[in-house]
Amino acid sequence: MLDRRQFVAGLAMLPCLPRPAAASTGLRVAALDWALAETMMALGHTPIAIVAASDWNRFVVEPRLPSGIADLGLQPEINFELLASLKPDLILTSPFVQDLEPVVQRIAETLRLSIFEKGTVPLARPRALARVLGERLGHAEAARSLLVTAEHTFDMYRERITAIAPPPVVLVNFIDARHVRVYGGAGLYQNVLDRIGLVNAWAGTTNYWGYSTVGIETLATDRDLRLIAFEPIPADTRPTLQRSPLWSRLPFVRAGHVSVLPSVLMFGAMPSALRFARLLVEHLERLPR
Amino acid sequence: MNVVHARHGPPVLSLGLGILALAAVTLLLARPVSHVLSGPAAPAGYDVERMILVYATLPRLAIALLCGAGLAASGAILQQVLRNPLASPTTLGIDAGARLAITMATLFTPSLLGLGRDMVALLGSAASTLLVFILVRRRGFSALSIILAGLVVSLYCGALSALLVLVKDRVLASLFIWGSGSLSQQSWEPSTALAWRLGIVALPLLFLLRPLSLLDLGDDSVRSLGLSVTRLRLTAIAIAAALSAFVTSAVGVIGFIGLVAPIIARLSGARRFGERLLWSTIIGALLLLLTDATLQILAGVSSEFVPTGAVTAVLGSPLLLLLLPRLNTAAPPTSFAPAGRGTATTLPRVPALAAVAVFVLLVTLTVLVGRSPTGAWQIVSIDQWDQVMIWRLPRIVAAAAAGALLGVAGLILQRLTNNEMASPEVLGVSAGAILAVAVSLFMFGSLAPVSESVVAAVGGVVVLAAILAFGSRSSFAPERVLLAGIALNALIDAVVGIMSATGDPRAILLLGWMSGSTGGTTAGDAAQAGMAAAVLVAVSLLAVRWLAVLPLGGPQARALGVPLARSRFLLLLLAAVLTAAATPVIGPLTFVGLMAPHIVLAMGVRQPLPALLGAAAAGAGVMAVADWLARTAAFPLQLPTGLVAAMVGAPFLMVLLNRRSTFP
Amino acid sequence: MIAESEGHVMALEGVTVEVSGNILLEPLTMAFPDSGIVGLVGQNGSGKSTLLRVLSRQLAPTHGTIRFGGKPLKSWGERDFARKVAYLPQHTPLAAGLKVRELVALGRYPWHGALGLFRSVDREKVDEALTLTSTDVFADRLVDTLSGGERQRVWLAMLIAQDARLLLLDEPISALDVAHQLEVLALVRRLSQDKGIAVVVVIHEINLAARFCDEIVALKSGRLVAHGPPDEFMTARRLEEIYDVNMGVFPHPDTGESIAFVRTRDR
Repeated sequence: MLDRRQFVAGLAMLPCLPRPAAASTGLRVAALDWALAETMMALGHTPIAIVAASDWNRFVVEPRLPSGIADLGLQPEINFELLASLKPDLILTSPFVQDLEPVVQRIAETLRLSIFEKGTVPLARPRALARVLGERLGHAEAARSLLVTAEHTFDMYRERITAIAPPPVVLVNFIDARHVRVYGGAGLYQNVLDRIGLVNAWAGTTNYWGYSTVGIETLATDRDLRLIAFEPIPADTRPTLQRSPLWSRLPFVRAGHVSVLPSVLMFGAMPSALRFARLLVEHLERLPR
Repeated sequence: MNVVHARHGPPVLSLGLGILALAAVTLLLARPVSHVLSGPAAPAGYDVERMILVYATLPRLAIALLCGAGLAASGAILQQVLRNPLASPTTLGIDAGARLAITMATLFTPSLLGLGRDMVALLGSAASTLLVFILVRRRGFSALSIILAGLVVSLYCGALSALLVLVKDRVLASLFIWGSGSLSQQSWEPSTALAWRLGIVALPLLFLLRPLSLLDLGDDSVRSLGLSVTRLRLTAIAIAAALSAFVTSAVGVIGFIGLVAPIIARLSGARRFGERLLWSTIIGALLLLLTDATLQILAGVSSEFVPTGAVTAVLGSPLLLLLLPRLNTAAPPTSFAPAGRGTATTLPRVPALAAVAVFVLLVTLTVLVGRSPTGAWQIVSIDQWDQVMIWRLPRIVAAAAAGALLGVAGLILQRLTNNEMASPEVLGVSAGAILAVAVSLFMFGSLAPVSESVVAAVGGVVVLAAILAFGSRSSFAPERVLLAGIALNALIDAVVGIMSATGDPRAILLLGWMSGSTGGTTAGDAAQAGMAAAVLVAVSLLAVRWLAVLPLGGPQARALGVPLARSRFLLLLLAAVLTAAATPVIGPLTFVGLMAPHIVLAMGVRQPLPALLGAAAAGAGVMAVADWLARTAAFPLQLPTGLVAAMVGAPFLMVLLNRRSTFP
Repeated sequence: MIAESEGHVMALEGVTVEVSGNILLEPLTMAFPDSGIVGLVGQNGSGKSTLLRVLSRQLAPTHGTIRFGGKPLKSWGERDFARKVAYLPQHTPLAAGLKVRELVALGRYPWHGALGLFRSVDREKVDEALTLTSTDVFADRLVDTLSGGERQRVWLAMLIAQDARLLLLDEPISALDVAHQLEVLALVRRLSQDKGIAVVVVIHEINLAARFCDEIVALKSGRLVAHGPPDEFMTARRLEEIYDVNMGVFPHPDTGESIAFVRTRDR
């Protein structure tokens, strides 16, 4: 068993951690979905091209996108001329781009991996993604070690959460000054909360994808909780809310239990799950108790 | 007896609406109010129910009343000023302009708030209103033309918003929420701010009431009283646009209240303008209150987020359909005379050979010129030819084929309706295709089990059948069919809005489909589209004689032995089939069907046969260029060809329309 | 009563027109001759235009039958009918962007149809129509650049190119000044005589009707008041009956024809 220090050290290196190039197939892979791209990168296999590369650093944030990865453009509008000229060996697709498969199959073999699945064990999909990609790309060992490290990391976070015993959390994106998207259900964030033992205070329903759009007044409660908002937050949200008695007198607002975290890819895979857990736990630990 | 009824109609109706709204509000408030009353006088801590009642539920009721009143007043003014019973902030594209402006501001200058956002909404409304008026200037402001232009501007704003969401905000897709206004409130601030703004803008109305009433008697009687009709109209339209812009800035687009409330007021017997304005405002306020309160009661049952603005649009657009038979769309012939006179005398006649040469050159350039994988501009070389062309050629061919199909469809519709604002987009066939794809996307857990093209075709055919069934009652009077298409478009837009407002990722898929992507077109697809274009354009050639005679009007065409109902039916069917064949290739929104006939006209071609061939070529050329821009403009980003065509085409269209209007 | 007989092109029997409860035409039984000019006169709303629209099949009668050329009107095919009967509505469309010759050529539609070729006989008919109406001088000008009188002649040319046996004209002169009114009516008269075409024309001006028509049909509130040669009409009693206005008649100083005039109210 690794101790906690080693874990923290390992965590910091996570994005570039396992590099067992020995068994690598050296395939030139294009990933048409960010979750697949980040899983690949966590396995030490850099894709040659991804979709919407220019937005990566804004929405996925970490790991920063290495230079030299070709930008295939918007997900619904992939640059096929460019993709073909890169002569990939394998193209990773997801159900969101499955309509493009007949087209990209003219360029290279495709592998479709589902990123989202409802009603399974927490984080079952990200795990499966890592395993399948590991097998296919010749990084089976790296995948195994990624998963082992991930489980250890989550276990450790779980302990740290138990230690600080934070109040339940509500995870939101502010859409404008009057609406939030609140997360729960089968989404990645909820999966992580379940895995590290944090309680989601949002009791309302969510859609198939694990979130719901509601008016901010729906968040009013006299319970103690911590509101965690992901960036970006629209500029006029804060001043508007501060002038609203409904908001400013909320017990958790008065108590200052409102946090802002950097953006985390909602439809992400294991790296995003780990990053979210890290950001969350580290943030909660930093708070005065 | 009738008079008594008419005099008491509006108050009785308002009372009824008020009672209904009161019942809904009572139902909504019963629990929280009894809770607050029964609770301790000075509650310790945070009393959730009390806070929600005081700072969310009650302000929401207030803002519903204010928005309803503002929009209804705006609609009543517009209907009076334009002498057009279908005028409203929604149908004139005022809403859409404000919404687009706010969307852009949110994306590019996110720090904008308060008054700043109001100004942005005002500017957007002003711009879209201006656009509509420039478009219809030459049509003597006929009722149908204004509504058509309003729809075109709305569609354009919608297309631009869609493109922005796709490119800039794909992951959050939060901007959808402005498209269908939500009345959700957290303080009294927005309602007090809106009340002030509406009050100040409405103040000058007191002085305009009498002059505006005089418009009932015609422009001359206003002029004879020493007032400038133009200035009066502009001032009133500015007030109406401002009322609607402030509402949009506060809560987003609330569709159709501004159309429905004044119509209800009129139908219930409010005759004079003052009465209509007063009762419209009251009815609008109560109507929105009733809708929103009902929605809130039902929201407890369903968990999905349903924006009120989309609900009013869903309820309001069928009303447009119901009211169509009451609308006299036939504009007096005089209003056409100044517009048409001498339009063609000074137009240059571009030699056919030169036109063909330009067309060939243009299409060749779009094939040859592109960007290398590194982004450098280049003319494709022989050794790269094969690997580049398997991607490039099919999409150009498919886009051009779709352009030809839409160009011909547009020409047929414009000739059939004798209205230069008619276009395939307006027909509703495309909208039906969108709806079908949307429903299939949202019904089946994740993605459609069958191909989207099939679903789209089914949707298009169903809508077509509905339009034709509707049209058969008026023996396919083209204006009626177009208006039905407009109502259908609005309905479908609202339904798609509701689907998108939840931020479901499938909305992005839908948006992608609607944007008209040609990327990934296979040689097979291209061949299919090309064949469809060749066959359908050839079939259309059989109709040139009808296209020559029908613009003379129904009676004259009938007198010449043209079977009126049958020829209109067949031409509508043809236009719809042309559109349905093009939509899966290029999406529902390109304006190429509107543009192509005008390009042909600008070249001085008037006879049906060359015009038809010219429209096909112009459509094909425009789409080839749009496809080239989509490929190269933002490289390595590929833009959706359909939206690029709309973006580039619409300003071009304005230039065409205006150039012609400068001829005396 | 009036069965189909020789010399009648259009025979009506009990023809009624009702639009949403309003009776526009009372049961009407009459016949139109197969040559010469018949003038339809009457007050506004008397049913003149309605009758013309029924004859031209723009409007189906609510009750009654019309026979044309020995066959029920309904049973004629669209183009067959258009080859026999031409109709000019009261408000002619703008025909924006059409040249005179192009517009006149549209008159050949009943002959070549949607798909047939435009043959040399069609071209000849168009040339003839242009010549007859003296519109050949501006054959290549745009219709919407012409004056009202010129435009009306062009439309007549189109009807002539249609080569029909019966022309139905709804107030062809109402928008014209006196000189052009005379010009157009003289043209119609000449065409009727030269080509042996029957004409039914709605005219407001009773004196013009009397001067140019062979027969006059007077309607009042949708009812037939009188039908006969012009001189039968030019009596004070008849005119008062038709127009509900106190009228008188005096002989034309040059020709001696009867001229109708309105008497001052307090005679």
